[in-house]
Amino acid sequence: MRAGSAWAALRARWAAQNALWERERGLVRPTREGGWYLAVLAGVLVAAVNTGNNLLYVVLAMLMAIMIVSNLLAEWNLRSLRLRRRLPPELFAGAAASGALCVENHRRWGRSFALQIIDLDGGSGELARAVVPSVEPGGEAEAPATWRFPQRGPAGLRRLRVESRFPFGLLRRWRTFDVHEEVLVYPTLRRGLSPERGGAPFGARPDPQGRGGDGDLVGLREYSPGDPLRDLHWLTSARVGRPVVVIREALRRVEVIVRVPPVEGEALERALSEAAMEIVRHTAEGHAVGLELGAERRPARVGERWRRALLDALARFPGGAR
Amino acid sequence: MQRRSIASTAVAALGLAAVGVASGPGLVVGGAALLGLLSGRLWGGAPSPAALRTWRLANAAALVMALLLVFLVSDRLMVGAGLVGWLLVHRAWTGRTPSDDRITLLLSTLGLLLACILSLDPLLLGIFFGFALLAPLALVQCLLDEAAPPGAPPPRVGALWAVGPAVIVIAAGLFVVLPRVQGGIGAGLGPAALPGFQPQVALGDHAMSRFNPDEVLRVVLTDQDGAQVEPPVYMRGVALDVFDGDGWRREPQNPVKVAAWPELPGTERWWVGEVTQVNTAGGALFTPPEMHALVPQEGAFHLRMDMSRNARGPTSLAVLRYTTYSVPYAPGALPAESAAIEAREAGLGRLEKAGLRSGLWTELPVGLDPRVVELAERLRIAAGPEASERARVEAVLAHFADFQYTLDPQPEHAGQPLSTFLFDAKAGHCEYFATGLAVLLRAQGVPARVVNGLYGGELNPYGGFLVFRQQDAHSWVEAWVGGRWVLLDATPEGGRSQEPDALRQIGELLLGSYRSIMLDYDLAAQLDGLGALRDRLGDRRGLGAVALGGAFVFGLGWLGRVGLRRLAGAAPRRPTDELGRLHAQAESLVRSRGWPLAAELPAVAAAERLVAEAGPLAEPLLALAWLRYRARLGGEPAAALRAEAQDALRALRQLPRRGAPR
Repeated sequence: MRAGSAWAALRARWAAQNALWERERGLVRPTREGGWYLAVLAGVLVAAVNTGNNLLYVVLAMLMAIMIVSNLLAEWNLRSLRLRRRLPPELFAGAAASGALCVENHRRWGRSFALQIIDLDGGSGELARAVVPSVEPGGEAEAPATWRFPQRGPAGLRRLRVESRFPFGLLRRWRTFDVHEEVLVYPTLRRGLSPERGGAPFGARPDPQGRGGDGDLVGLREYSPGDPLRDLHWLTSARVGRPVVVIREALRRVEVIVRVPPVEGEALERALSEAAMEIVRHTAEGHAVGLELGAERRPARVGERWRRALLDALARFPGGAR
Repeated sequence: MQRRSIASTAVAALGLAAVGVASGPGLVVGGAALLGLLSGRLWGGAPSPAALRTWRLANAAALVMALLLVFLVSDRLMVGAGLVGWLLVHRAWTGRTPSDDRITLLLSTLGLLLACILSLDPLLLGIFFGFALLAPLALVQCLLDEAAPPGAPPPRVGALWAVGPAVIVIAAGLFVVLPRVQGGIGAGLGPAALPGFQPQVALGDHAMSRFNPDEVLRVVLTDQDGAQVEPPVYMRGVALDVFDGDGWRREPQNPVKVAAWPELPGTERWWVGEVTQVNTAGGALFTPPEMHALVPQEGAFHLRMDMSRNARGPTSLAVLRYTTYSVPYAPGALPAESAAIEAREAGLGRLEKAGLRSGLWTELPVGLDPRVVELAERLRIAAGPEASERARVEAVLAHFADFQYTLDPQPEHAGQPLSTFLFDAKAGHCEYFATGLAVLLRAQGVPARVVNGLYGGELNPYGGFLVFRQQDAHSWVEAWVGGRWVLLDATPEGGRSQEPDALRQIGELLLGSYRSIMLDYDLAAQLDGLGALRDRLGDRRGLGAVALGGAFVFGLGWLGRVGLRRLAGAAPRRPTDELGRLHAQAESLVRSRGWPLAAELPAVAAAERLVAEAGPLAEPLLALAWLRYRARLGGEPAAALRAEAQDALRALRQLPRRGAPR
């Protein structure tokens, strides 16, 4: 058992070092044509050694020189590169998210050619892939890429790989970079009950506090949590010594409160997806949207940040079938 | 046509040109393939599915035919060349992708390989040079085309044009450094044997070389004062002992290994010949007549000599180099009458004496035309009853004065028996003159043998050497007169000289340099180079071998850098934000306590799994993960969460080691 555990520890150490090496220096494999090339090289080597024919040694030296130059240029091509992602601001589970993968060439001279940038998931699969034909020295280039996340919630993006078959297409070389990024994936957008069917979905009701109006000034009241800061009336607040907000006449603003029912499992996921759809739809229409999610109550507001805050809450809500 | 297609076509053309240069049939095969290749490239269209199916069938048929021909014909290399040419044509007509161009380049490499095996022509070196320049560029262009987005032009090659010269420089270094070991497994493919120097030679065989300008040897022949010896010069190849009526053969003898001895002949005048010979005569070494010593270059081989003074080297070496020491001779210079018996016996080897005593060189074939013996008798009588041996020999020589030399014998005289030559045609080439003379001398009881060798030589003023070609092949007679072997040549002078050509002479000089630098570079030369390097750098023992070995290992190390440098480690990249560092410390702490963390899961999920396994004592890690999320995603300032994170890290230290009792 001790020998077995020692061997397992050694293998684990080797695998960890291999992973480190792959990240820091890169790995190389022959392509299909590269395999044939190596076979021809081996044949020439055998023929040259067998016959002592110096012309065969010339051919052998030439083939070996091409392989040496290929290896050197391949490593040089991937040196001093930095990778990053440019993800869209909102990610929805199951939906294609179009962004870009970017590569920076930090070398002072020498372009990098024929780069393929791959966003790796935790195993050996790909999340996204992009092709960059060339990057100038000191410059950067980006290529469009599409991600697709299967589930809502926090997702960790850990590694980016850059690979290339430069210069001769005989060897495929790659380096893997640890580019950690934590993203929050919103629930899948799924259409639910239509508001026309029975009133506003999930219990839409007007805001009794009169928030969100942008019409004429009709009064002042004390600040309560959730009020937008832009509604603070600073002069009055300074005079009375406490925060005071203005009350404006609402101009036909629709306020929607999206309520997620207390269900579990697949039903919860479905409900979250439908809620997300409603939030997106109503905010797009300029409505003030609030959220009732479990024990949490969020008032109806407008604005891009508020929309994201609501979607964040849906994404992080525990439970469900993930 | 795209740039990559142009480049790959040029490289393929070089490969086919190499096959064409290498041999005559190769020229036909290479030319036909080149036409097909260019047609396919210039057409440039995309083949239809039906056409592709037809091409696939044709490909399969070509492969089957090639396999059959390999077993049926003797020239298997030409079958291989034809197959390579066919595959190139197939690619040119059906392949339109960068991958196809890459395969084209690989096939061209096979063409070069075949050419090297077929020939040692110096033109191949020029083709290799062009290949080394163009092939890397073509490969680069293929890759750039592949990497370009659809519809967009590929990036320009730019400074990458330098890969070609870089490949040439590195290849030159590798050529010098690669150790020359010769496995010798299987039959070698050396140059074809020169006709006329086999153990058995039919009348007429030796003349087959008369129109072949291929070089056989070159010799720097100087006298005792270092002055160049002017042509024409005889170079003795093989002495043939037994005439059976249709041809000559060597008497089976056990050649004796002779230690090389660099002794001068002990005369006032001598010749020194430094010979470089293509081994086309089955190991026979060409030497001036009256050779007294032969020294192989740097002990490269052992010298063997038989009773007929045939000097032989190994058949395995492609080129033979040696130095000869000989006495200047004059053809037909017969010794004076007063040569004593002691002089007759002096200087002979034991085997040679035995051969003379046995009558080996006076045997006549059974069934010889009686007219030949009668002629010999008539000539002896005509010389006079009291004529000396010398006079009798001169009389026989004089008999051929009226004969005609024919460079291109009439068909009815080609392969004619000796009697036809002596009595009817009275015209022929050197083999007949030598055979007639030798047989007539033997009929008179004078030991005589025919020698096949080279006569003439062209002085190359640029290199200071004499060049002998296959067309210089010649036959003459050695007769035992006055106690020594005397060179007798009955062939008339006509047709044996040729006009020198300055351009050809310069080419031969370059050819010699090519041979000595490229073809003959061997392990001995490498060791010499190392020795010279060592001498230059001082007397450091083993420095040269270490340098050569080190260069070779270094080169392998460059290729195997991935494996070698796996032993080095590098620290993983660590997060730069403060909460991230605290979280990373917490994860390290957890791992050090033996708890696994799923690397493929996000931080929170991994922490939740740990809590499920380890219990509440792992909850600080979950708290740290959420704190990090709040800072990164929730926009909360990290400074406000630092204290809480540090408290969580301190609390995590309570987590016990995995497996320890709780």
